[in-house]
Amino acid sequence: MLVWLALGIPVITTLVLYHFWKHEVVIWEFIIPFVVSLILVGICHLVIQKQMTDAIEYWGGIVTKAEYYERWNERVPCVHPEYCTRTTTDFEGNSRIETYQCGYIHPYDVANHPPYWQVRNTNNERIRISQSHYQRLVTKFGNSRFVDMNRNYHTRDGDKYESRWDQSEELAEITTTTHSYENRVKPSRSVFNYEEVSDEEIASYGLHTYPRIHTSYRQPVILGASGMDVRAAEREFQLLNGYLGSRRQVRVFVLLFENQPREAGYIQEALWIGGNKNEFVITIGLDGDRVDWAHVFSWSEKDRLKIDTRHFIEEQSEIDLISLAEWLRPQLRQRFERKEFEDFSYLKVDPPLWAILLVFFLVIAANVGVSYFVIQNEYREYRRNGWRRL
Amino acid sequence: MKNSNKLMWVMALVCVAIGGAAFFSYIGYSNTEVELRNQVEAQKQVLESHHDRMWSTLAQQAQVSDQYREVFEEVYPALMEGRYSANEAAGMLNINVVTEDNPEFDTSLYRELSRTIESERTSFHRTQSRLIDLHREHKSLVQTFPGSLMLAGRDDVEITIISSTRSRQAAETGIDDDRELF
Repeated sequence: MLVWLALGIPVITTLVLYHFWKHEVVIWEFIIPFVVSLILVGICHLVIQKQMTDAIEYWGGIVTKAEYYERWNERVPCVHPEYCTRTTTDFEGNSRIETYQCGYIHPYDVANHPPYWQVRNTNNERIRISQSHYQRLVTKFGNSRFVDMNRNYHTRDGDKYESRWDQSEELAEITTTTHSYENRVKPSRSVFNYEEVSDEEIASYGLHTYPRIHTSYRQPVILGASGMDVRAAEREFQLLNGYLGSRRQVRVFVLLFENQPREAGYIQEALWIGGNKNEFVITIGLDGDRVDWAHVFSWSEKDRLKIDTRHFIEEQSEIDLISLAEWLRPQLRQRFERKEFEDFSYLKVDPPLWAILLVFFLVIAANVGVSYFVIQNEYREYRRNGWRRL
Repeated sequence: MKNSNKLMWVMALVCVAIGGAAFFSYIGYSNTEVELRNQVEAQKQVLESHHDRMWSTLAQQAQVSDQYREVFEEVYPALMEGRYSANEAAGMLNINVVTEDNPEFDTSLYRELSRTIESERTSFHRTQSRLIDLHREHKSLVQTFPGSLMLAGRDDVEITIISSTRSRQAAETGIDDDRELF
């Protein structure tokens, strides 16, 4: 990779230092530019790779319990040092006053822990929520339990209250959380990568961007339903994502296109670069309530599942998203398999030119700084042999 | 330290740095090239195996469908003949023609076959695409700097793309004017 060529810079630095400042630089100082440059290029390499291959996927889950942790406090070791003075005498008999740390100001400090509210979900994740959100969940779940935390508190004993989900589908509270993973296809020149989609295409085909997560953990999964009441269908797909998110590592999005050609589905696939590794994306073209076309994309290699889903939709005379969700749930549970992106580890990721130039600039700057340091510091060549400290 | 000694140390340091970088780069590039070459070779075998599996699956499903059609063609006339001759004897032909439920040819086997064809073709295309992608990655490694310097003299890996005569001719001539689907 070209960024590693920046390691040629300390070679030049070494030769320049020797040529112009050979008496100001002792022999071991010539190693410093190499070490600094190696560390810098290594860090830049890791940062660039991470930045270019980083992708966000969405995980579905179900809230298993909502928790309220009360305010509490505790004693902790004091962190405020106390200084004293004392008189010392050196070997020549000169006395002087010196300051030293003789302890701490307080016998202890008090750490205050503010209250907070959170939920736990079937993916064993914790998500912070607001107080009002917690109250709403307690009302929804219809139970609340006191849990003694048995804390070693100072003056305020904070405990916990929790409200549990009863495992019923009616009361299931669906969560969406984000997770990052390595996607080497996205920045590569692989044949599995897609053509870039222009802003004009996004506008003319009415393409969708990933919806944001709101109210701590909610994300709509049916997009483009202008003028249609899809609340019941949205709930069905949310349940599907909640139940299968942790079990089958799948997330379904349904994207609707009004009066658009089939190409809209293909270009949507290109815009989302095939979707994230756990996604099963269903695009549907509509003419009013009538199904015009369907296109399903996913990195999953279960092609038959995608084809069957497409046929199921295209065989509907009028769009019926609820029956689609009911049909899809057992199908995904039995047949879906998430793509392992480790399969793309062979792809090399080339940083853009500006990143390479930036690395070279940073290494040059570091070498100039190191050179200034080794010239100006107290280590100089001793006239006869070795080096000496001034 | 004498200037000549110091110069020697500096030159040694520079040589070690350049030599070390070159050595480790060579090892890195060489290992990557060999790994990719092996992956390409392995993928060629996967592709052949996939091709065999695809055609076995399709052939067997097609045989089942054809078998069903042949049996239906044999059974249907005999069945209908038996019915109508019995009805004619009883003088009930006109009434039964509109009320009886004739055996229907079940097209689900053909629908299943068409979906299997699409699924197997898509899957095969992905396997072949992976082979092409590995080959591309290998070529990029060997042909771009500094890989072209480090790996000079390494041979390209040969791959064969499985395609139809029609597709190959279209790709070679740039012409595809046969619009007949069947």
